[in-house]
Amino acid sequence: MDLNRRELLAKCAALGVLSVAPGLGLAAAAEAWTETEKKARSATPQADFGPFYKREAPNVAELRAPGDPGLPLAIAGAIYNTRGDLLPGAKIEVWQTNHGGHYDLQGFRYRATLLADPQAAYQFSSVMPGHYPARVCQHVHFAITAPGHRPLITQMYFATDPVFAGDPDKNYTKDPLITSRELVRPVILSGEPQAMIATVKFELVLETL
Amino acid sequence: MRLRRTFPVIAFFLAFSTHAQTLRQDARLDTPVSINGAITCNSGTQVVGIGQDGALYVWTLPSATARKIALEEGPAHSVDCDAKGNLAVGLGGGKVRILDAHNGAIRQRIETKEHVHGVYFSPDGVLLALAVGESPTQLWDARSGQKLATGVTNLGGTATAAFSPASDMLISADKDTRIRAYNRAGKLLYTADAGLLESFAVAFTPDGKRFAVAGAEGSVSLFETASGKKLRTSASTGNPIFALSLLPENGHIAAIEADDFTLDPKALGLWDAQSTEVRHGAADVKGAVGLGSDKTHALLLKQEDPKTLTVSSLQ
Repeated sequence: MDLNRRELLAKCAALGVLSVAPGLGLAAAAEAWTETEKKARSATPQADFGPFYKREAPNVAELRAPGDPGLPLAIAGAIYNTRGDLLPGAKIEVWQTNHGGHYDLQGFRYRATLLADPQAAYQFSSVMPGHYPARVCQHVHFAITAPGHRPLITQMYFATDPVFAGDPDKNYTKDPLITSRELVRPVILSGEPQAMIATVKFELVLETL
Repeated sequence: MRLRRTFPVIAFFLAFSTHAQTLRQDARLDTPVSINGAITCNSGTQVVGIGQDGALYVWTLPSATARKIALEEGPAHSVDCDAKGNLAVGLGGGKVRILDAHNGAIRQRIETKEHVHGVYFSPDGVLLALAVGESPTQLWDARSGQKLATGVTNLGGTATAAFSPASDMLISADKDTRIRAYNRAGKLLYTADAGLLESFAVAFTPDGKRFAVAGAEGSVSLFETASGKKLRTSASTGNPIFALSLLPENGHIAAIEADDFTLDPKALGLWDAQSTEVRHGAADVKGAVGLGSDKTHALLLKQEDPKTLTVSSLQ
């Protein structure tokens, strides 16, 4: 017989294998338990660090300078842990190539260190990264750290990447470094044709230590 | 594919000479298949390569004929050697095997939980350092197959590592761009700073008193081994450096630079640590698959053509 959580707690209490603190009724406890579980999130898959990370990138959210070639891109999301808690103040390091597929090794173009705001949100503007010969797909690198959590090193990919031929479900394994379909994100194109922008939402979930 | 070092490569040419350096071809080795990466062992008397078929190929010079070691458990991804004729080989699925280089007999099996992308053998054959996934360096007892210690990083794993010639110290170049030194027990001795970008290559002087580090910065830094003090840094070449070798004869440092877009070998640099500039010869390094050394020279290993691997000494 399947019991719902409230019935299960009631049975456990009746059998003496569960006790509830004074002031917390069984119904409230069952509801809180369920709500807590609903919040739980799966950790964002880790992915290869890549060779061109650079520490001490500046705290700037505008990675795209006026006149930069390439499709303007806005990436935003929030930082959670696997319990579903928001992580304001989490440190988010991002780096990517320019439109032409080049990493800036001499300076900090298309590199930033961001801090999640009080709502644990982050956002930055950039351009759609280019392709380069040693790598199959366009990608943005992320490294997120927060006290009490395992650092998250991952990459985000674009469902519109020509490599996926419009079907990332089927083709995401064309890049052997893509560890999960989850990292291939939908792209929303908006704005006037002369000022179009690609927007991507990328929520990041850290494992609690 | 990766050997001891991250080394995205391909094949060199006979001999070139400039005022700065001379490259002399010492050997032409027959390759049954193309070699993706190669190292030198036993003071340059042995060359070990990983073929495109995932098998190991071992040449004992001056013989030009390779001994093939095919591993039943899968293709080799990385290899290193000790000074006693043993090979440490990283396979897929977190497997590492210690082999006798002469007959391919497996002497030890090590299983890790993460992908192994670099194996680093201590010259005495006792210790093995592994670069695994995005975790810090792992130190293993190569004889017992037991893990001794796990290093530390602030972020990410290990890019490359090297043991000192006396096997008493491990230098780990980590992806958080820090250089860390460990003793034989895996105790962290110090953390050093080679720059803001990741290092891809570490090489010791023959006496072990100094080591050089280079990578995405495009410069070479020389450190004092005992203290971790940075002694000197060259000017940047403008290209990421993927392999280093110390020239035993004069203490100069050879470096293979790569194109930062294609990651293909681009130039062979030579740094006299007394100066700042890394000098370049006219060498076409396209096809370089490794950089090693013998008792007196740095050795460049290059897939000359699909059937020939050349060994050339930098004079």
